Amino acid sequence: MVFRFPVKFAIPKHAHVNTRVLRDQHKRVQFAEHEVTRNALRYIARNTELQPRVRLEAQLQLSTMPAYTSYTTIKNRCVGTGKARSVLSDFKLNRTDFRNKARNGSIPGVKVASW
Amino acid sequence: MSSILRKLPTKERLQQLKKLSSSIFSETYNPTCKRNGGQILKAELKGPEVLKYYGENSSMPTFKDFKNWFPELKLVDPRETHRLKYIAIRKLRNKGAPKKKSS
Repeated sequence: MVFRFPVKFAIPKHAHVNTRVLRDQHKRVQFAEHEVTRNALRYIARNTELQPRVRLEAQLQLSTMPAYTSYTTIKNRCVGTGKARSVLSDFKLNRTDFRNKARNGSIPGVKVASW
Repeated sequence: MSSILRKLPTKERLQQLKKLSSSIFSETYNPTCKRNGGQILKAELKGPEVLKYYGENSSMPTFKDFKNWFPELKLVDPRETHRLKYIAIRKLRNKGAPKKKSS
């Protein structure tokens, strides 16, 4: 079986795994790998005290870096279902999965609100 | 008393003071607020935290790990057996997953 991404990474074991979650994990791994390079290029591109040509070259190099290395493409998905919408960051769960698990009693300290 | 008020330090002296103070306390000094990308260098790296989002695989063993560690116990996952059973039943009724397109 050929691994579908250019660099191999460990598939998450404690989250719901689907194609989109794998793609997101690939982006996270690549972001962590290239973060220092990207930060250096961003710094050079944004520093107004450097020559414009140097800044332009840094910006061009940054734009040619693969899109999966950028932080903006990463999405915090639901850990229980893999959905990307309506994810509560405190629980890393989609709203429906949060409701199901909370009503089941699987989330400590969460009960139906009434006051 | 009034002599103290008459001799307030000049703007240049105050600037020198601020510059010296920031060098002593290892702070940045940018009085004209020039955009020099310092905030990019100052920020911590986000990589490790971002990687941990879907959990660390080594934090807890899964059923598959136990199966590999103790093959003599012949552990059976009831959820997996149920899943395979209902898939087999659906296939009998001709309701299985459609064939994957090869092109």
